[in-house]
Amino acid sequence: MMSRGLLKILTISIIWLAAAHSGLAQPIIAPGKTARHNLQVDARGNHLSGMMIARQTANGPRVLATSYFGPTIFDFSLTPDSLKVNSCVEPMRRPKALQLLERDLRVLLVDRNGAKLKKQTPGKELRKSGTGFAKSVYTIIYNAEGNVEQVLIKHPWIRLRMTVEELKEGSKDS
Amino acid sequence: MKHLLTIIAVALMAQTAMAQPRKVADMQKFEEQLKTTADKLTSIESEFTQVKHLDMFDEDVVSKGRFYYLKDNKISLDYSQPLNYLIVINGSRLKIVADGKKSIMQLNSNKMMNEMQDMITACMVGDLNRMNNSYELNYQEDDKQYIVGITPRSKTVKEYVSAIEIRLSKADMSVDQLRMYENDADYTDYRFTNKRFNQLKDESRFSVQ
Repeated sequence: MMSRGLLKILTISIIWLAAAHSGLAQPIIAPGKTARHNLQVDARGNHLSGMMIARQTANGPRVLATSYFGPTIFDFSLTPDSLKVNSCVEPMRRPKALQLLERDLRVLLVDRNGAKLKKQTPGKELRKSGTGFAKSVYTIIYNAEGNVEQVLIKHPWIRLRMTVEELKEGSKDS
Repeated sequence: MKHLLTIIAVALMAQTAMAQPRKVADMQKFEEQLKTTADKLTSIESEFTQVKHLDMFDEDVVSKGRFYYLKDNKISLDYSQPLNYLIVINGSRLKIVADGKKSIMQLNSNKMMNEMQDMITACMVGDLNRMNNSYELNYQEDDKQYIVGITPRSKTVKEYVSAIEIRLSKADMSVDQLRMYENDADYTDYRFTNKRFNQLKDESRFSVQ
């Protein structure tokens, strides 16, 4: 028969593990809020930058990327089992590109456990998903309060790298 | 007393009517003014406020910066808010500096990009003579501005910009406001203030290297 002490330690361990696990899986947007992040895309020697705006709705997140100049790059609604393309620039409309982007956005906005945890150090975790063309590596950096500060997404096979980070607003005039 | 009230009511109605956009009464005068201004214009420097309105999201995205134009095809948008971001169009070359990194692209390698660049330059500068027959234009005015509505005829262009509205100041025929619609509900506004004309000499800010 299991001693009371051992049972207590086991219960506390399970609660701690569950809490830690759910904390890791938290999406980067708080429910009911509109979140803005700086989005950087590096592909084949080009660096592009814009803003990612996301909001949790009753059916799942609505996420939009816009260039700082104004035009919308993509606007998606992520339902539990599908991706609705509200608008999207032509080069990204290919089914394979959309599938890859959908998975990245689900890891970012729905459940980080969509990618397998490979390594964890204080303030940082490494997650992976897919193989070959669809291989994705996610590096998630946390700030001192435990909130996500930056997510770096690498697609090594297609040499595409995306960085989503807190929008630190700054002005040249200030 | 009755007469006074009638006069006030008529004056208010007249003022309201003046503020309402109406068809341009003298198109010849408008076209001449537009051509004269475009011929004399060599450069523009101004501040701008950009507001991207997204109907689905409950807030507007506001950006600010400085706008520079140098004849013929040099444009620079130097953003300072929400963060530092620079766009330079020099002829057929586009430079973007973001996050301390620089990207240079050739616009003439893509027909669509080339057309968009021509359209954006024409609209930001107010040189509507540049607009070719790929666009349908309609003209209205109120007491202070000419309001030009532009609709692209091309389906491909319409996917990115469904319509444009330019508000030109009657005082100097410069662009006060440019609104680019992506669809019926979402648009980006650019408002230009503190404008200075024909004083910019330094070409270095338009360098694309």
